[in-house]
Amino acid sequence: MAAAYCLRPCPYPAKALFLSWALLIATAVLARTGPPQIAGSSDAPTYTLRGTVVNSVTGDPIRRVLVQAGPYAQLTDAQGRFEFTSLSAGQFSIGVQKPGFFTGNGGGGNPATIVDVGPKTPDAVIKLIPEGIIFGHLTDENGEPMEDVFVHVRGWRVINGRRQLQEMSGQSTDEEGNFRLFGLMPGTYYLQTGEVADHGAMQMPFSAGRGGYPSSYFPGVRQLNAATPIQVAPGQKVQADFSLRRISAFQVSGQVTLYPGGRVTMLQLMESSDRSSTLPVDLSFGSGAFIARVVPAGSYSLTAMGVDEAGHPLFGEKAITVASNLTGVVVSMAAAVSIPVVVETEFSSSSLAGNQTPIMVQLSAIGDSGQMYVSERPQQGRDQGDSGLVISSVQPGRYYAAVQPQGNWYVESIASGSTDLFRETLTVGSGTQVAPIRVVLRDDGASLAGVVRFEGEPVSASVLVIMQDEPLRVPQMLMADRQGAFQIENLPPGDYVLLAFDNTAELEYANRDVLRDYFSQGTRVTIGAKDAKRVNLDVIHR
Amino acid sequence: MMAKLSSGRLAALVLAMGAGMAAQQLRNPAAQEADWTIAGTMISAADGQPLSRAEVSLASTTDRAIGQGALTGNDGRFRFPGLPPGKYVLQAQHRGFVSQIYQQHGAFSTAIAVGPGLLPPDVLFRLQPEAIISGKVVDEAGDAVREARVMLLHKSLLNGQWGTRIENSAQTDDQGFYHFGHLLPGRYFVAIQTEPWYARPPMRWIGRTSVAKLSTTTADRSLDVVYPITYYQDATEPDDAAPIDLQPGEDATADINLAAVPAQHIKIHMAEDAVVQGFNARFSQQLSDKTAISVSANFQKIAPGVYESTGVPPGNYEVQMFYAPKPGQEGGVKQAKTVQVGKDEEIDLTEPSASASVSGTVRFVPASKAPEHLSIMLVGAHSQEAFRTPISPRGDFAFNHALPPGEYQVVSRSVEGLFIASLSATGAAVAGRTLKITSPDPVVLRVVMSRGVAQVKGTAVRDGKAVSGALVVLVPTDPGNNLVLFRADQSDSDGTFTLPVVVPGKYTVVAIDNGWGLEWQNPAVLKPYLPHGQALEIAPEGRYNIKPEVQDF
Repeated sequence: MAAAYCLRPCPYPAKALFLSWALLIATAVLARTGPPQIAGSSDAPTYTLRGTVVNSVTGDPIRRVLVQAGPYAQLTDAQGRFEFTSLSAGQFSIGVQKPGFFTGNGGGGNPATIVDVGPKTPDAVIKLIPEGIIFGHLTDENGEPMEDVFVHVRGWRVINGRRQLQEMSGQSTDEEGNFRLFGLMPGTYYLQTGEVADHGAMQMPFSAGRGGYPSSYFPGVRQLNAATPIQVAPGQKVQADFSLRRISAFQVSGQVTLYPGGRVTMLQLMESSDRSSTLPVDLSFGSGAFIARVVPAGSYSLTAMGVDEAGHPLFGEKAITVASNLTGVVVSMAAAVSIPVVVETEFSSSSLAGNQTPIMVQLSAIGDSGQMYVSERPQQGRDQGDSGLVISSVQPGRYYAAVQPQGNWYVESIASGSTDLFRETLTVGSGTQVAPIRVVLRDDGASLAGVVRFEGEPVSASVLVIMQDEPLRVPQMLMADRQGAFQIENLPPGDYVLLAFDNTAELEYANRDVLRDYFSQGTRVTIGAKDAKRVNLDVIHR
Repeated sequence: MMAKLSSGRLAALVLAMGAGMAAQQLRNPAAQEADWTIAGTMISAADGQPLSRAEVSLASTTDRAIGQGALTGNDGRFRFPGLPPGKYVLQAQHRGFVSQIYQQHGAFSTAIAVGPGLLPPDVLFRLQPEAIISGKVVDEAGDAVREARVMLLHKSLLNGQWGTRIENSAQTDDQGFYHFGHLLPGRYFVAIQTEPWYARPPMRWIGRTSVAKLSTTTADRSLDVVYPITYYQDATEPDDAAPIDLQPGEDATADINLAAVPAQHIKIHMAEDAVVQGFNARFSQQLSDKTAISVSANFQKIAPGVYESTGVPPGNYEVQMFYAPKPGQEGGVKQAKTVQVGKDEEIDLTEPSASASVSGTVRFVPASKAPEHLSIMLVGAHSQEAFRTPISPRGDFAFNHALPPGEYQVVSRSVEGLFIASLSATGAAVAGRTLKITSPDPVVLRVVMSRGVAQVKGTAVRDGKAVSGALVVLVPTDPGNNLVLFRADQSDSDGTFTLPVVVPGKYTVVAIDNGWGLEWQNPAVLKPYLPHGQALEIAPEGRYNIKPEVQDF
């Protein structure tokens, strides 16, 4: 939605107004508070809304921007101006859109641009943020252009409160080795090339063996932690030329062991240090034999998944170091780890007890592989008594657990054996079973309400409700409306820190280390069961 | 020979090679000596100059484990020693040139044969410098159009027929630029398909007793626009598209300006009881003689039996509607009509369609059950659209969709050596292997299938000497109605060729030197060559070895 529209004199420093990053082309929000008003359908008076759309970096007006107000739409003129006549009185959401620009949106809790149209509607000024572009030239170790290499752009994004390196876009280089990646939101990016078998696809001279260009990060390194991030400011065009080094590549072949009657469903070969980078493997699903023909020297992990005769999932993993051709590599599969989820309810109200209590438990791998598992009902419909939920085929690793209750209750605790998952991560070893995850739900939650202010004036904000002693319990985020009011029910009793932010763009709110820096500006409150408390909060400016 | 590699697939070729000194690794080391050499020179087809540091690969046509790669020297020379007897395919690549197989013509190429009694030629391998077509797409306000779909059409001889087909497609970048590289010289067209980024249809309020249109100001109406499919040079009709006659190594620019036009709102009337679920419609526009493209259109039911489509650019379309059958009716129903959008705003499809339902039986001679996975296919002669349906074990078949009037080739893939021996039909005319549907009457097709496809091999000769790289065509009788019976090959360096999967019958074999510019599936073009060809009567399971005399082009 449009950024930086202030009805009253703006209380915040001009530069930092409501700037949160949004999707490339913001979709128009046609929310309205009443039935659509059709001009001329009654004797109601009509009003005019005027405004200008400007470039947030240069301040220059932008021509030919599509502006939508209610059901009406028009393009701004050469001076970036728009004018809607014959609008009825009331609230309208204004949407703006133009290729090559982003709007600052309501993500992180800021309201969309809502205009009160009436006799004295002030002129609107709407800012659009210009896109960033990364372009460049990819060459090999001889300075020759590399054609048809896929270049990924990956950037940090906060997903469910945690930072993850996400793929934003990508493109293959042309025959001059050029690439041009546009439509980028301001931020920090890494460029990663897809792996390439000898480019030009000939191996010269033949006796030297195969070679290849393993997946690399700008400016030409294999590991992410050695990569140079590229900063893209709004409207900036960054040139990123780099070159790749050919290294010897080898062949890896072997066998995935099978259970009798079972079969392999997937085999992945990935770099140990960057599990998102996978290499092609030819796999025979029936026999389990595999061969990877062009594997650059390095450390890898072979991960296999399959099913046994009864359809139960199998999993196997093998670490290998490739410095020459490898044959006879064996990947043994064992029963995949499945974690049952048991839900216990401690409900005082008898009307809730006995219901199926739907919840969802999510396991997210630590690190930036983005791997995630969600609880589900087992396919065989086994009666498990309590909730019948299970998290299937979890690969070895360490995970954060998050749980979403869906009803008038709160999660009191979530644990696996003696591991309190609101305080510690869950470690899953290979082949060994994991203690069932026990979730306890209670219905004696408290309610909390309050007002957020800036220098005494109520303002809208994003409020984080943080349970102090449970660092892995993801804080709840609420919106305070334009009168600064917010409210939450079913709050677990405990000691809290409340933080109200003017914007939560790129705030890794599930990461307690990040939030701790703000605790001194927050408000502490202790809440008991069934309490109803009110608090006043002061906005923190980020 | 029939090339098993297409240009640009060298990566796959590398993977087919064995590791290490593959030339020394033989399947059967004791049986053959490996001391044959293939050598040659790589030159530029533009100026005849030798190409150094070109990458040449060699692969055996029979043994995937045998393969080598080499770089040409400063004199453009390459050499592959130590080869066992056999046939080899050469493929080459060099920056700035189009990757090609030796003497490649579409799917055919000349393989080099070495062995006792065979002196391989010194190979003169010509590479075409690559040409480029690029340009910028701009809208009516002079702004760059990003993420527009750009289609490159190429007029080429494919399987002996001239046709203009989509060779590649790309998207414009943020500056409106697109780029097609690695092009051979020839005739090309560029077409753009996209929507104005700012287009907004006027609002409708459905669900009230009357369909109300917002009273729109001129500003609002100006956003209800579309782009017609636009060809270089800013043409909106396929016939007006400007050809780009690309020269070897040329860097051609084709900029295109898009102009928005008001979107057409088309009402389609269908029989009221046409079942709506599974309804969908397709607007397709003929881009060229052999290619049609679908244009997306939104559909909304606005009244019983009446559908409105918005966002369709003006142009000539075939509107095809598919809808679920009524209870008791089998298969889907398809109706088609050609309309000119921009003139017709209402399309009446309430009339029973002109499409015919096609079903039939297959009789096997000698009698047998239909093998599994046998199907029969009808290929539209002009649309190239193919309809396929399986044949039941009892030999019955029925096509799901009714077929619009037109000519269709009747094709069945050769399973277990089966071929179509004869055809007859009621409700439509049959000539050779062609079915001609002219009315909506149901068509019942009777097919007789026999076993025993034949094979024809041979050597193209002129005055007793083998001719390499000649076009060899097996021409059936009544060629115009039996296009599916044609077979062709390119003779290898020893003059040999193979025509597999030949349907028994009467043919003429024609061998033409440098015949690769010929539209050899066109009976009129072939006519002058037939009198000097070799007549051949092919029996089931026959194996023939012939020596057709090569004619000049």
